[in-house]
Amino acid sequence: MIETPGTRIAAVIFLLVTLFGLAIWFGSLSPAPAVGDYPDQEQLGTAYNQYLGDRITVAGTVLTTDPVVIAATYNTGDVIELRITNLDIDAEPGHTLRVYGIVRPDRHVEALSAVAVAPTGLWYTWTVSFLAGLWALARIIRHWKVSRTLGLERRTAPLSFFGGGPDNDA
Amino acid sequence: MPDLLAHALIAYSLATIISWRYDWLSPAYVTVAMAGAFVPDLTKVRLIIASGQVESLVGLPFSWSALHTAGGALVALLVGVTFAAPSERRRVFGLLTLGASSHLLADALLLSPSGRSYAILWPLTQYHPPSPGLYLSTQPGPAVFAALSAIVVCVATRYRSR
Repeated sequence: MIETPGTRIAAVIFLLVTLFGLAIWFGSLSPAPAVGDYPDQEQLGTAYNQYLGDRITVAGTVLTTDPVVIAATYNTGDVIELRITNLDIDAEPGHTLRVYGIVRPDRHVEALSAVAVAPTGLWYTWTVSFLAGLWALARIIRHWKVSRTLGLERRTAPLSFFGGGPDNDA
Repeated sequence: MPDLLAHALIAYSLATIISWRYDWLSPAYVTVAMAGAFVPDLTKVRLIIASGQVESLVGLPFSWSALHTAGGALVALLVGVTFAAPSERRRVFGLLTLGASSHLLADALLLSPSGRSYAILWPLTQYHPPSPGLYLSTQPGPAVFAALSAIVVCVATRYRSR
């Protein structure tokens, strides 16, 4: 049924519209602490006092360590600064701190549990993820080609990148 | 899991092990499973256009995280299925699903301060299952472990095909 360029484009548009709808639906979900979906900085940033005494999760960059203050971004660009107490881990400026805790008055979160991530950890993740992308892309080009009907079809013999004969390499 | 390299390696290993059973499952199809492992992380589009920017653009709540759930990943991988020839679609769908599911499951094991993972089964349920907290997404351990497993699987496959 879907095998001409026209039907393929129509199907892709339909699927993208569906995805867009799902993203709107997902974005409109309210936190549901009963099922483990806690409020976060998006909620704290816009209506802090509404969550006093509630359990929340926030993530932000460590600004100072005595006391520990993090800057959490919400609404793409607005920042809420939160003082974090009761931490059982060391926080260093510049690290990302992810906190699960209880909301107290005056921009203060009492931590129940927290995880700190160094900026180097993030660089590691991005670098190896990029390499993984290259690996997969190379494999796709090697084993698949674009057909005349705007589809992807398997190559009868894998494309060789280095001039050698075809093999079944990883 | 952690980083995309670990996800790609896991999908590679799983698909290669399954290829021991099914002769049609050539390296070209193993690649499809690896592509599937990338699907949930399409949510990283947020780094180019943040969810909030889309929100202000369309005037509706919006979250890219929908792509990192069973429902969102399913619709996204169907885009890939559309490009396969009709005779290949069942295999391509199966392998993309294998890759995407292994990614979502491995991420459900990530360390989270609250001890709960994410809405993996959405839109069936918003339930965040408890997470065993095995690793952080920024640690190399899982990728190293996945790489060693992939090497073992790769060597075993060559040994078998002789």
